[in-house]
Amino acid sequence: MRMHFHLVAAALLPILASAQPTVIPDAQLDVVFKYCIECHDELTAEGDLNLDVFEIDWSEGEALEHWSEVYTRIDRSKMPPRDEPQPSAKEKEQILSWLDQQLIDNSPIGGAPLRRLNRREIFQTLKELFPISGFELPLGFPPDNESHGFDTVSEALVISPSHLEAYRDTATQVADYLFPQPRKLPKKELITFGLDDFAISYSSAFIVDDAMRLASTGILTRNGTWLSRFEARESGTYRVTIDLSTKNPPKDNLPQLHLQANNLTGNSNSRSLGTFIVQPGETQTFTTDVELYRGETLVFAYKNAPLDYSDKAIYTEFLLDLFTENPALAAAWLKLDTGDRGLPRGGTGWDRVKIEMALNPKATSSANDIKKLASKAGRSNVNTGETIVFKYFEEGPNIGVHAATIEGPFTLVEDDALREQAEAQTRFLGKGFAGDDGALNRFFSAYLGKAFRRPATTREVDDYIAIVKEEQKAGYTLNEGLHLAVRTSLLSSNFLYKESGSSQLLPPYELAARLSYFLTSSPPDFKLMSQAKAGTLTELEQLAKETRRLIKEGNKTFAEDFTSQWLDTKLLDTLMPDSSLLKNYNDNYRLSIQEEAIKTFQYILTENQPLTDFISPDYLFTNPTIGWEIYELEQFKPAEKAKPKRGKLGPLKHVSIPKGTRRGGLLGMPAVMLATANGVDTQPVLRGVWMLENIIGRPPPEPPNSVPALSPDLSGANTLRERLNAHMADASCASCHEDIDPVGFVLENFDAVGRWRTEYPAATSKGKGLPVDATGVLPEGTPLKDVTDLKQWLEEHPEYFSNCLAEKLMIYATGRAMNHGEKRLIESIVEENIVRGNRFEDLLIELVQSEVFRAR
Amino acid sequence: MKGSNQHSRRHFLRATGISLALPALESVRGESIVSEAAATVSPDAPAKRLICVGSNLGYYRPAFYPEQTGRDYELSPHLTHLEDHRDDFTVFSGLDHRAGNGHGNWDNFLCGPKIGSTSLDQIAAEKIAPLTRIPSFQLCAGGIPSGQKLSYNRQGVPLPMIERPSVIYKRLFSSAENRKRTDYLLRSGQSALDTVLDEAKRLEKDVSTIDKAKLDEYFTSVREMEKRMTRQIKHLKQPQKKVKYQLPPYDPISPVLMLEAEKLMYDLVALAFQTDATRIAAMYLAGLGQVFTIDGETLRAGYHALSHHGNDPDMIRDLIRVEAEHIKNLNRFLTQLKTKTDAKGRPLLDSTIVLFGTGMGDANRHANDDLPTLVAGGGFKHGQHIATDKKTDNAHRMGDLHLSLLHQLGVEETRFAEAERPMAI
Repeated sequence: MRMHFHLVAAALLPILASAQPTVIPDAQLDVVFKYCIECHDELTAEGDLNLDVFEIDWSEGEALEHWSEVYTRIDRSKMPPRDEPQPSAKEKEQILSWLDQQLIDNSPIGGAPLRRLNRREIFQTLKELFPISGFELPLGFPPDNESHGFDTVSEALVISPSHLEAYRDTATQVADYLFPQPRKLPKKELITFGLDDFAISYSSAFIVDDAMRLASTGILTRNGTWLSRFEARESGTYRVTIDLSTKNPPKDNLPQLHLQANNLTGNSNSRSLGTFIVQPGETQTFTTDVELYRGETLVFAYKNAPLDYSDKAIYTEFLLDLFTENPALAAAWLKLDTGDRGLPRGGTGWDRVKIEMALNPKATSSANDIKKLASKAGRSNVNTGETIVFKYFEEGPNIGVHAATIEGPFTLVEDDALREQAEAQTRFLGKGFAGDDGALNRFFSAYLGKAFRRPATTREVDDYIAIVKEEQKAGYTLNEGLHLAVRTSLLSSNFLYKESGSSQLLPPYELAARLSYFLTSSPPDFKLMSQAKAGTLTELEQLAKETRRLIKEGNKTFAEDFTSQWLDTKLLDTLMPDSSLLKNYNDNYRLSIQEEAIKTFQYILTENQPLTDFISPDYLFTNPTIGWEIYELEQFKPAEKAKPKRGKLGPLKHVSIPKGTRRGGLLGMPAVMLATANGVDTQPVLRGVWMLENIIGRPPPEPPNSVPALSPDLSGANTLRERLNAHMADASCASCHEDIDPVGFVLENFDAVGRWRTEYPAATSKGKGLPVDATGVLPEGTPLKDVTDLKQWLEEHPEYFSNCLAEKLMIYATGRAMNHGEKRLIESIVEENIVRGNRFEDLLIELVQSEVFRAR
Repeated sequence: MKGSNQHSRRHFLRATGISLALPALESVRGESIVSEAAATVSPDAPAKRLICVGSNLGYYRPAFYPEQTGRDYELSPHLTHLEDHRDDFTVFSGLDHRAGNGHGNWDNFLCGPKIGSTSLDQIAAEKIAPLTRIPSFQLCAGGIPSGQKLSYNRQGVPLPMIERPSVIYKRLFSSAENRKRTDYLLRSGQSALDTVLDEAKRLEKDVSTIDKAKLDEYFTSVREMEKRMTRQIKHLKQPQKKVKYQLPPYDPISPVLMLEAEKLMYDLVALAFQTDATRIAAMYLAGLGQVFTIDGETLRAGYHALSHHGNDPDMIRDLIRVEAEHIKNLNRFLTQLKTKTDAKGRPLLDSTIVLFGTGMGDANRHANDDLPTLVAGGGFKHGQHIATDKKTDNAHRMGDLHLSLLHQLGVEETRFAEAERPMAI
């Protein structure tokens, strides 16, 4: 890599394209004519590139891009093609050094168009602006286009009418929440419910002898019933009557009917309304006044039912007692419980048991068999519970629900959600908001200042007050006026676009927004706004201080949003590794894997560690599951009989490892290895491209459209390497693949989830797989024996990775691709930072202080 | 999933150049903004409408498939419930998407092998939606199991399903009170647009040339939205089509009322088609642990437990009883489509394609191959059982059938996912 940072000084401030074209001097013209012009003359112009010119007109739209590309191709010896005459070292230097300086002199710093908030930023911004707990964007809110690998690039952040409609709908949703329509008391009704109006889910209840029987306790959807044809239209007071009886109640533990409220699907948390003790004998009618909230229905459960099959241990004890007391039942069950699936679930299974018991009423079983049966049936509690509960539906103890009535609503009540909504309005408008001119002025000055991320002008405040007044004049309420004002502000270009204006360096408020969205994906906080107001934020020392503060205070948003796009680990959201690679993979497993990349990034940044820690650290972040199943670290080897755990994996912990080994860092990190494979096989080409693009910083040009991807067959006799050698045979493939493939192969020791291997999977279960050959070559020629060589080389040449990461950070932060001059400027910053220890936070602060970051 | 390969490759392609995918964004949110003129279906296409119905737990294949193929087949137990319409449907066996198995893969019912590809109904909606007020309906009977999806738009965004009949009814026939509110929101919304246009004009004075181009995008979008709002206000004023239909006072969203919800959903789709409010619908028939009461008798196990019948004859008998209810509901719907007529007085069924199927081949094993499928109406020459044997060369796949349906609707796609050989029906 060539370092020309001493040349950069001239380009510190943005320069607009020169008015005068640059005349190409004779010496350079000679080189071009000698080596380039045969293909790149005016007529042939291969690759649409005409070098048959005597001057460069920088005002032409693509001149900068074209000549940067010429520079890169010659620099990397990609041009002229291998089979053509090559320029001497001197000739190469002659053209390159001249062109480099011309490009630097003619690259403006900055120049991205107006940038709108992307989906992530809109979401965070609305959360900051409006005190709505649990706020979510509506389903179907448009996703953003990506460019240069990120969702922050202004050219790709378009606005179409559909975008605006989505913004309008979101704004209406927000306004509806803050300024709801007044509630009305619906007409009172009296509704009577019969047995077919009660829900049964799994074996939660059953109708026996003209009553819905409840016989078990536990979660509602398996142990209760609820009204299926009623939901409260408004939160209010209702009068409820219930007809209840009980069959065979335990004398010392009379059944308690637990009356609750839940939604019609029975899947939220039930709210208790009261408990009724049911006496033996005649059916009893209970009357009670309750509050039901909008959307709720009545739920009935047997609170103290003897049968509870949700806890396996308790249930097994229960079964042991039951089977011991009823040997015929045990014998019947043992006889029928054969085959893969045992007894059919539910009443069908119970019917079989009953028939068998009737045929063999005297049958018995040994105490040992009964114990085994209880233990087995207890383990498959959900299946057998659904069957055994039928015994209790029929014989008791159970509660019978015969009928119910609901009358109401008598009055409206405020439920938790409504109370929260009212509080949100108060918080939004401020306590004691009177709605007079003074109050409106104060409110809009503050609100618009937050929404537009700069002080609102008097004109703007007046305009928004006028919106409210106009509505009031037209006969609508103050709330309707505020509703419209909120809807208006969220469609405003002042809200949707950031970094507007015409100066080349961002003014204070715009700079505050750029810094804040870069490091927190959220609008600038109070401290940043104060700094902007005081005008101190544009002082470089102050800017560094605020950057440090945001890094320190910021949660993991930056690490998450940036790494998921830089490292492509967001792809894991839609990828499922083959079960032969990871048996217990689920969402929690995936989150842990993604978290490792986030945590590593966050640690190196906040602890200001050297950037080489991304490549070759002496630690990694893992938990026992991943530490054993993927990293195969001995310290996490589970005890012999330990059962695989389900549910959440443990938190990631800092674990020390020897430096310079295959483990640790981004190369081989499970999240990266998964993202660069397809869940089943590795794909060296993808990994090679990923390496060049995200680690080494030499992205290959885009592949030609007509070429299909090679689909490797690892189990075949001919190796993947042999197949990919086809790339090298064809010169047009080779010019890129000679860089891509050898780097990709170096990661072949990591399978599709990142576990180390020395052999490919065998084609058959008995066969032996082919050995993995992970040798490779770097684009500049260094041979590599495996990934440890690659790590060592990257550590010895820290500028490659550091430049790559620095450029990615600046694309993400500024929303534009870096031009030649900006890249040179970044290189000079990186170079100086390497001398000072190559630390991450230092680098980030230098970058933020540079013109690259501060220019529009 | 093999798909990630392509994804990454595309990602890398993007990395080097900016792609301004404006056309692809045009139907964000499943709501097409293509102008009326852009509807590119031929007016001569035999079919005008499409409804796709997918059942979560599928159908017990031996009860669904006839034993014989061709025209002279004997109706299978399930198909006897459709006897009245024998000449108006075709039953297909052996078709699937050649995709993997498992709960998650149900979602490829309308997508083809890769979940998240634009679904059949949405491909049709892109062309047909501009002709109607509501682009398309996604409905669900019986409560949506977590994560299950039916329709995906061009961006791979799964479209939310509506499970309350009252919500659909309101969209079809809004009350005077709701119309007043909608009218107010639209009119006040237009004045909001005036305000933000003024703000943007002021902003424009202080920005660079490239920023002006970005702002032009904004101005154009605001003006287009304003036009749409004017159209919507105009539509609100038009007299509503009168229909005689009464919903029950509750929404049957409790899982036990799923079969009741299913009937109401079919009713509402028939009404929507009749009033030409929409021409595209997709409906999901859920299946959870609910215990149904059929003909007054409460079954002795939940639907989900029955689907894992373990080949137990009693469980299978009860499962078939539940499934038969789905078929009877379909029968009722087909009858409705024959009785109701289009603007030219012809039965709706003649120009309405009903795709009735599932993403689940065998729920007992969670197998997603060999999907029981039936197509009714839409102007096809029906009355057959078309069997496909996957093991034979060039065997048709489900996508081929989807392609035929699109062609019948006048949507001239050459491929559906990996399929490109429409089936002759």
